[in-house]
Amino acid sequence: MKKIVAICGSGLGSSFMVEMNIKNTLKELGVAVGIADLEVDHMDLGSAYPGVADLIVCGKDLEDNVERFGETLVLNNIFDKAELKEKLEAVLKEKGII
Amino acid sequence: MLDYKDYYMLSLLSHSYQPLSVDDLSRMVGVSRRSIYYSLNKINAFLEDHDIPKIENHRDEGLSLFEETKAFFKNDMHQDLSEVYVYTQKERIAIEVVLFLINKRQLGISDFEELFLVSRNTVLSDMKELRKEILRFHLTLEYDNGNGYYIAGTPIRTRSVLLYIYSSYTYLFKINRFGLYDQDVVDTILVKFKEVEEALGVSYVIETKEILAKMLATIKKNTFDPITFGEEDQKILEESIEFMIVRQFFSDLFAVEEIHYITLHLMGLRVHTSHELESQDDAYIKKLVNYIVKRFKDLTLIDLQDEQILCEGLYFHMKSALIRYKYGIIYENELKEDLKEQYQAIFQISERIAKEVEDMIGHPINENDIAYIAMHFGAHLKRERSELEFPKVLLVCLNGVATSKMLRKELEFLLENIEIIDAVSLDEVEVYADQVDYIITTIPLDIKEYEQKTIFVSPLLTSIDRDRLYKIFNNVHQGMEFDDLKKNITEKLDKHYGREMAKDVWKIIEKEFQKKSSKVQFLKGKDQPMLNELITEDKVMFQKNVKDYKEAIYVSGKPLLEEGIIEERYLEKVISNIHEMGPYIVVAPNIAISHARPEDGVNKLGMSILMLEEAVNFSEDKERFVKLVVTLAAPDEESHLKALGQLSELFMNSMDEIMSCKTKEEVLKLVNQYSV
Repeated sequence: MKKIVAICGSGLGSSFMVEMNIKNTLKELGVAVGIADLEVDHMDLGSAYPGVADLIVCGKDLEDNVERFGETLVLNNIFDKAELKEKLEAVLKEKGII
Repeated sequence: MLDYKDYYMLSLLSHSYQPLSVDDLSRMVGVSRRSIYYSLNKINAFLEDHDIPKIENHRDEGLSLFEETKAFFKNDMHQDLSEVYVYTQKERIAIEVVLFLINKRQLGISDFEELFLVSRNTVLSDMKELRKEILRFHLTLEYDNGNGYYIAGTPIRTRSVLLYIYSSYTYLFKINRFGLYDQDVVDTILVKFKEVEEALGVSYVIETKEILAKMLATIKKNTFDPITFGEEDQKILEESIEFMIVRQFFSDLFAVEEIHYITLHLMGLRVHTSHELESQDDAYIKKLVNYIVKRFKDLTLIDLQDEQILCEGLYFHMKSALIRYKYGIIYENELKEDLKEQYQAIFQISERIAKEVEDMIGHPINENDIAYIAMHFGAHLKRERSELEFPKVLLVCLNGVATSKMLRKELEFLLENIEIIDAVSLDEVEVYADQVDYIITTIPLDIKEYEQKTIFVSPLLTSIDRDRLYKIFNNVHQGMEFDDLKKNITEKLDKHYGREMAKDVWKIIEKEFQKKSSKVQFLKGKDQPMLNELITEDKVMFQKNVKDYKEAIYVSGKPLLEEGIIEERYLEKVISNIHEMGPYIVVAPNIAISHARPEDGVNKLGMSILMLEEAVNFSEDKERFVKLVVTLAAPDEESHLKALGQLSELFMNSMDEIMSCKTKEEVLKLVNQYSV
């Protein structure tokens, strides 16, 4: 897994927050973040394309729009760190990263 | 978790009988000083966790380990790095490529399973990634049934991937663990380089020499296929002054083809351009340059002035760069780390553009070159906002063209406050000399008259050169810090006209100042206001209820609309977005962040909050109830990030508190609490 992208409608607001949270969570899980390791980015729905990342994180109301771009992790509450950590941890374990 | 570099640093320290300085370690490990400090902190945290004495840092002496600490690593970690360290995939791939290239015998999956102690699936995934990586060098991974894998491609490409790996992963190959070369051959080559340097009267960057020496020793030990040069290029190589010297010193080690190859590298290091060598035609290079500049403008929305100057600089850079790419000549940019740190935004943009250019030219562009492209942009932007009078400088080099053009960029980056009026050759010096304050030259200048203002530097600025220049020019123009200025002026105004007046005057000055510097604010990332600078008393509203979510959006955005921060169409856009994409602005239960794109009608950065007593549904078919609507107006991609980050912290940690706020004061108190 090389890249995680947080996506929201405009690419300015919530996706950036999610990006920060992903980075913090990865740090807590002991996964190295960076261009050379696992890259984390954010963008708007319009800039996304199929295969844009190995994992896409978004809020539940964008799920239908985002699914076609690749594997998606859906958050009910984007400020809920516990939810993010739980779901991200599961994906990383499944992929054998942690 | 400690990584390879950390362990390597530890093993160096534990085998050393004397303290090692950060500089020593930086050189030995092959990473920047900053990385060393970073490692140091990591290791010390690790030691602290294990109740072992930490690494000591003595001023003037350097770092050292306590005996107890040394013993700990000896006992518990077997000394041998390879037994404790788990390579990252990138590192494994680098090693795998090198092993493929040097092995006569083809390698199979099981070879790597054994070497790295990883699973078969991991190796298979490595091979998949490796295939992608080497494709950038036009190399392919082939599979020979029964025998295993091997890498196929032309000798030029094979060598350039090896050089790329040696220079990108210096630290992995510091210890000759894989028997890639004979160390005594490396040493011999380094001695020969020294002789070449003396004979030519030049000095090369140490790191470059070391990498090149390792490369040549690897070629020798593993008898790589030689590169055959075109007739034209071969002639130019043989006519160069390096060729003679290289042949004199290296003939006993290498055949004539390799003498050509070494000459090529040294020529590449001599001047920033090897302009005699055949590059792409002008039209092609210009097309590339125009593309790079256009993309930069697209991505930054900066309206560049004097674009011609920028294009010219990039043209010379690309012209020589294309030759280097073609032959995989390595080329260290000593400013790389500084650039990455100071110009993160520009560096990242340059990186992005470089990736696009890679696809066009069919060669990978490494970080050193990306740093150079970033430097061109950085220096150019710096010039644009300079309106003050600076010391005038004339550049002199052998032919007045290539070297000084590159040197010019480097100087402009290094020294903010100089004006380089021209770059000329030796015989034109006198035409300009009287008009300038300083002459910076790469060739000895024997004109008594100008002795006082002549500064002699090497074409590739050494760190000594840089220090010297820095001292000279920064003493000349000592600017006043903005904050000092503010303090002085405020004090004076205060004394003569009273506090209120002083404040008002200062506001005007600050506003004007911001206008001037607004263009470059995002580059430094400095001017990102805090949450409490945006959410002020007049931006917080309480209301019992609204009839629908559209009204909520309008009411929440009203203060921004009235102040001209946003236009009405911005709020319309938010609503039409919800129609199209659903209530995605509802980011958490009860909370909506109402926003659209900068181009949808944002004039300035702003934020406002509406708190509703009765929740309103933002969706027609689902349950998306909201009681708190934040309107966010972001004029660009960056300036709102700090405030938004703070808002997000607030929501994450104080959700219940904010939802139960009943007065503006309570809201503002929370906002202040997170504005740090």
